[in-house]
Amino acid sequence: MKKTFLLILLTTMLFGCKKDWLDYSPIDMYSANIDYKDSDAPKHLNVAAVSIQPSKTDKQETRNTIKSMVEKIKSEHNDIQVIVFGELILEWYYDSESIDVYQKQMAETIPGTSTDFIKNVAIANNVNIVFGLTEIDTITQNIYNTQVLIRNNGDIVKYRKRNLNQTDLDNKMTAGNELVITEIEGIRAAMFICSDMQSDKITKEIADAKVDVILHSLTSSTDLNTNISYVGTQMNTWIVFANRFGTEGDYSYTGFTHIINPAGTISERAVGNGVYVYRRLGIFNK
Amino acid sequence: MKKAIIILNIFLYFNIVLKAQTAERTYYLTTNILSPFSGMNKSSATLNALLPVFSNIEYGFTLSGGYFKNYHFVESRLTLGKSNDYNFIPQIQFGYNFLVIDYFKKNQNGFYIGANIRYWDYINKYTKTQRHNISPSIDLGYIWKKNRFIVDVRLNQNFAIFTKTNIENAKSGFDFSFSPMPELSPVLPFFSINLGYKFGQVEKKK
Repeated sequence: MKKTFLLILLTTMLFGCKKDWLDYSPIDMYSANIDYKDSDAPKHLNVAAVSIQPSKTDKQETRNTIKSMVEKIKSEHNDIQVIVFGELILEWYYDSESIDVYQKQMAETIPGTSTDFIKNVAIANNVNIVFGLTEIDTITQNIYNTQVLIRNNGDIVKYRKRNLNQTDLDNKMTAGNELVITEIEGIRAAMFICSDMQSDKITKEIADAKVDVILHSLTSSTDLNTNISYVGTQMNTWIVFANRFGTEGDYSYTGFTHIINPAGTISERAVGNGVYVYRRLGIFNK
Repeated sequence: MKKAIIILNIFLYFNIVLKAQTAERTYYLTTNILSPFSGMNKSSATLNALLPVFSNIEYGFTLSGGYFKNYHFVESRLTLGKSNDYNFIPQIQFGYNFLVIDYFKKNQNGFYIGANIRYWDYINKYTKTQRHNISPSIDLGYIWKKNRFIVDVRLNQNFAIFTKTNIENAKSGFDFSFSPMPELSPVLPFFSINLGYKFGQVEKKK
């Protein structure tokens, strides 16, 4: 009886819990720093990743913060082409006091008030802006954890997060169902939200798509290594990794924000509120 | 890479010299009992991060072989496994250990200190990239020998790492490093429990 129980337990541990969910191990971030020589690359893309603290309920205040950061980056780096903000950055990621209604209250359509506002900022500053928000489908009333790219001409590209984590499910989000690869000034870019990186299927799709850069809007407090990135060793392409700052209920975010090179080393890093990292990415033909 | 090959050769040479010098030797085989559980998807970020710390960051199946001579033992370890579905991570290690208390007190005490060098190839199957890593470490451990059975409990502290990759336009790198997760703990020894069996002649102490 005991033997049978042990056999069942072992079999369950080995095979029973198989699902598409990756978690990381120490060896995934165990490496020396590796520099990446990209100054003589045939193509370049000038990018920034930004960390800000969103207001819990005042989306206009957060939109103004985004506008200020875009103008600041533009004034300090006139050649900037893409600016990436965090996941669901127009609101809190999770409100434990009103789980069932909070995200729906904050949700909006795309196009909508926020995308219209950011579109004007993108056009005025001649820059592509990427950010996350809660999207509502007015027909189905489903809400999505969505990332939008607003081009410098006002065009919108939309991506809905596919690999939802428990918090997304608690937020009553619906999963997206398609990979979005787009081009920005001739560079192949993948739209990507937070725990999408924890899907083996999506990892494989992005590797097969041979993208030049991943535009990664996320919410994370897991800052284990300031030099080597586990998602960097997983993806082996440029990653513009934009996080959030602040205390939201029981959760605190330091705002660690990175640009990760294709060798998995963190090339640029900032921590805090209202901070950003900038880099001219060298892109080689794949 | 040349440096790495030279260091590995020194360990292999050391093995051969010891073999040649001793007439009485006891071989052994052990396995790390926790390494098969490292890298299995446990649906727990904490377990995935912390279990490998207790399996000497060995993932999958580990077989170690070595031999004792008086107060010394040398060892080679081979590990084959993965930390996630997108990778495969073969590891080879060579080590020398010295039964330091037994040497001074002649009391059969199993406490030992030693040095180890680890090579692993982090192969990303999806992006078709490889990272060759070499890391030296110091060991502290205790080995129990009961008849022919061995229980070896060990702490392994790495202190440096060299990495070379086949990723185009990436250089090699070297760092002094005491932890793969320095924000969690700047110094992080890896623990292991190894069970095994001795072969050949049982040692006679001089």
